[in-house]
Amino acid sequence: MTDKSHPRLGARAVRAERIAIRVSDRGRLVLFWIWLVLIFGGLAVMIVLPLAGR
Amino acid sequence: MRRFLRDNGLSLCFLVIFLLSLVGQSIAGWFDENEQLSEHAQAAVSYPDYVTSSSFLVDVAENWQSEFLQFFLFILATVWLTQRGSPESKKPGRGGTGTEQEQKVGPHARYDSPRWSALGGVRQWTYANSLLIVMGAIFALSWLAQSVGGMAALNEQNAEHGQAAVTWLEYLGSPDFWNRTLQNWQSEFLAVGAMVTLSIYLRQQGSSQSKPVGSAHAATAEESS
Repeated sequence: MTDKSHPRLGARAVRAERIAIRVSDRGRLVLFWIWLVLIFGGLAVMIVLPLAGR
Repeated sequence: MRRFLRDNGLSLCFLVIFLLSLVGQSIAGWFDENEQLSEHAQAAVSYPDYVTSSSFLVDVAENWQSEFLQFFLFILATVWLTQRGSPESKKPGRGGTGTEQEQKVGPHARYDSPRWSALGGVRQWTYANSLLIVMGAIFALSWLAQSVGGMAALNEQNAEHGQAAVTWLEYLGSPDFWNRTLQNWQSEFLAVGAMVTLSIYLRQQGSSQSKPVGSAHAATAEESS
């Protein structure tokens, strides 16, 4: 919600809110890929090491 | 940063407790392994050697496969099967994949729908089943990891006792493989069945996994919101 009595302050708050949303969206996608890399990376290790004679 | 933590608290929390548990398992398993080696007057193994050993990896893999099987089956079963009163279920009689309109796909996709939900053809089908496909792939690969890790660990023991090594196919038919597999499956199916059934009559205020406290026992999630 912008503050109409202080238009410059309101615009700054809106810009900060938009940046925070963009950072959160990007972070959510990064988290998704962290989970996938962790799982499939772990699986690759768990399959390759015993086959390599560990 | 505060917004990021608030928006992603659930996945971050489970990421942290997963990593802590895995490290904890590796340390406890290492101590246990060395205790057993010492009882047999054998030399202790180092921590790096233990966490890359088949005996540690098979213990991790057998738990992974059962967890992902649980979710794979639960996602698949809840497409078709319903349970009156469960917050995990659709309304009885509404089993099936749903209409294009309900699923917001093809011509019913919205401006903010994922791109592949509007494309039609193979891409839309793939995206429409992507959760099940990925969960199924993780289950299959974890089970494969359990089988090769279990075979390597069993062959290590066989070598110590002067017994012949088993092949991968022989290991797939062995009691060790099925004991490890089924002891995990039974606990997963018990937990899912209990969650579906107990949540008909019991509540947890504030949890997305529960119906609102005042909802009727016969109401499913669709009917109680």
